[in-house]
Amino acid sequence: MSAGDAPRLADASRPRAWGVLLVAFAVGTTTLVIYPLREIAPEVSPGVVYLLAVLLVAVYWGLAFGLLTSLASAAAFNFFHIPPTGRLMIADSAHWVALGVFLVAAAVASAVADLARTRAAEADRRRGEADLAAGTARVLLGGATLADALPEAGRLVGAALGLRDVEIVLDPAGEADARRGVALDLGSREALLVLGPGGDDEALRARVRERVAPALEALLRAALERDRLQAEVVETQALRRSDVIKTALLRAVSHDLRTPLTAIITAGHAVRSPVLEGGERDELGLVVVEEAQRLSALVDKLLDLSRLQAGAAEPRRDWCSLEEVVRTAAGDVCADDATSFALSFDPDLPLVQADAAQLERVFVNLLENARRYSGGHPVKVRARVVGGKMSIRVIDRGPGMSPTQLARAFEPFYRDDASDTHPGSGLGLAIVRGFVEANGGRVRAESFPGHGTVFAIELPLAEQPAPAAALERS
Amino acid sequence: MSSHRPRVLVCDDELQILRGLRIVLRDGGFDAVAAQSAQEALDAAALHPPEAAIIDLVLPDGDGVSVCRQLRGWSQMPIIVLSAVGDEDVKIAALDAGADDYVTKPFNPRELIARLNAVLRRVATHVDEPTIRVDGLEIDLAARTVRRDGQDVHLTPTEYDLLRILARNRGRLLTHRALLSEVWGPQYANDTQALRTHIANLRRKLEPGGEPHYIRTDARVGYRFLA
Repeated sequence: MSAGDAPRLADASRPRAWGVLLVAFAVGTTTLVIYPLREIAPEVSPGVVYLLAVLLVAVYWGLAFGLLTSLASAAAFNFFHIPPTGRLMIADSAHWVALGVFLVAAAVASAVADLARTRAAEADRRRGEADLAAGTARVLLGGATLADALPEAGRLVGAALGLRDVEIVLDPAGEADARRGVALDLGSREALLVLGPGGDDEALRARVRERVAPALEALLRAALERDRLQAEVVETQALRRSDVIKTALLRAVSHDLRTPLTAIITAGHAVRSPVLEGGERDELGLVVVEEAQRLSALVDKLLDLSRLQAGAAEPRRDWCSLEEVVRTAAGDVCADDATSFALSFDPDLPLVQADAAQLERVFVNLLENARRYSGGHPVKVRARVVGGKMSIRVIDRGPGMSPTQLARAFEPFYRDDASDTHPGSGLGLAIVRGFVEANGGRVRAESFPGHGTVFAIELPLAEQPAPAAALERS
Repeated sequence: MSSHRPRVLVCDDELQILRGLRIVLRDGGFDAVAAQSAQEALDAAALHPPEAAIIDLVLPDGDGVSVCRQLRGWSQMPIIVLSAVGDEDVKIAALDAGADDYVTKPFNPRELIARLNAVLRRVATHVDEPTIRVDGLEIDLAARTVRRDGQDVHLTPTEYDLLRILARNRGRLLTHRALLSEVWGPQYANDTQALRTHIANLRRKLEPGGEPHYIRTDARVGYRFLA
């Protein structure tokens, strides 16, 4: 412990002048107090009283002022209370002893006080560091991602160091900040603790390097690891999902390709029978054609879906009439039966900007699906403008869907296999959603179990083509 | 073909498959009765019991497994189920529920006819014969002895039980579970390792040249005895 340390550890903010005044005050008061004491207790050496002043000043103001008080006390005692009074003159060796005792007392008291103060400060700092570590751990590891937690962690470190604008920068690009920051080694990556204004102090930087950086590095590494694991979990889930889809594809292919194939193969064998009655040959020919068409439609759907999943379904937009599209689709689904669908279009329905071929696929799939579940009742289609958007509702009177079914209806290959034995690949609605969204629209399903299902499509309405331009073209 | 044409119930919800199948069955010497749903099949079977049934595993109003179970409730008629690849579990469930055999879609209609004939043959010979004679193999059920080409074959009691059950269900595909429950008891129904070991031993003693002849393997499903 050196004398130079004392003021800083005691309190650097207390000015020296105040210390000198205090010394003068303490010595003066003591000198005055001794006058009455000499009357009350003449046997006691009045010099003892100065010891109190020396101890108090040494404890609270450090060694330098303690020594000053010792000297001043010895002088004042000599001058005011030792005969011949009024003169500085030491005649008795006992007075040398008093001065020595004062000086030793000052040194010992200030040293003991210093030690206590240093220990308290050290404990404070340790507690601050522990608090900082706990706080940053909570912020860095408790938050959603490391990137989100960094600003708050920087603020905490700043508060602990008494600095503003402390930042933690991951993967610092340049060296520009390096002077005012402390580099953190995170293994695979690097980070910089930027200390901001006031961060130039070498002692502070040393303390940060020694006491703050190691814990911070460990926490940041843990947070990075946590982020990596989370990313892995997300990736694993995506992979598992795609696995589910692949399994579903195999099942769909297994059932939906095999059924028509079985019919075709059986019909092919049957047509070679030596005895065929009446229209059997025609019937078998028709089986082959129809089932082959079914296979072909399934292949179309698989292609549509693979295009959608590969993101290769870029729509070729042009002005198209929804009425035309829906009527064509209805014709495709059942050319022979006009009563399957009840179509209604508001007069003066505006045109939409969309890929007509893709919209046709949307309605072919939607109408096919609705007709399949409608139990012979006509499927209603209603198109009109609602709230500045084109709204098309396809309403069937089928058994409806449960909320669970509804939630998954648009997933590829989803079929509620417990109860659903209607033929269908489970691809249709996935294609519907894919093409509607590719054309900037939205599709949702509402269901009333027991009463039917409504598929509602919304398409954006662009500014209509100028009539003049339309006329010119026609 | 004799003048007797066995009635076969065919249940599939796909009309297009039924159209061809009816003619194929007719050419094979059967009278086909078609049904398009589980209920229709059960009604038709009850009204005029057929001699065999072909049941699709996927039906609009239920599954083929429960149709098998309900038919088995009152009839020993042979049942063949139509299944798709990948439906292994359903196939095994149907066999455990009493189906005799299965064919996988898309099947060759000739193979279906062959299987149908095989299971019908089992029923025809399944009078309580004291001795089963198949292709040089002679199983004396009363004396519990087995001879091949006139030579005694020594079997352990377990091997003999296994052979007896397989042989008494000639042509029928018996699942691992069915064999294990029958020979070892229901609590061993999943111990396929033991079954494979005993089948291997049985084959070593019975099969000439080690080639599976009497006992045929249906991977993952079970075993069947030569029809």
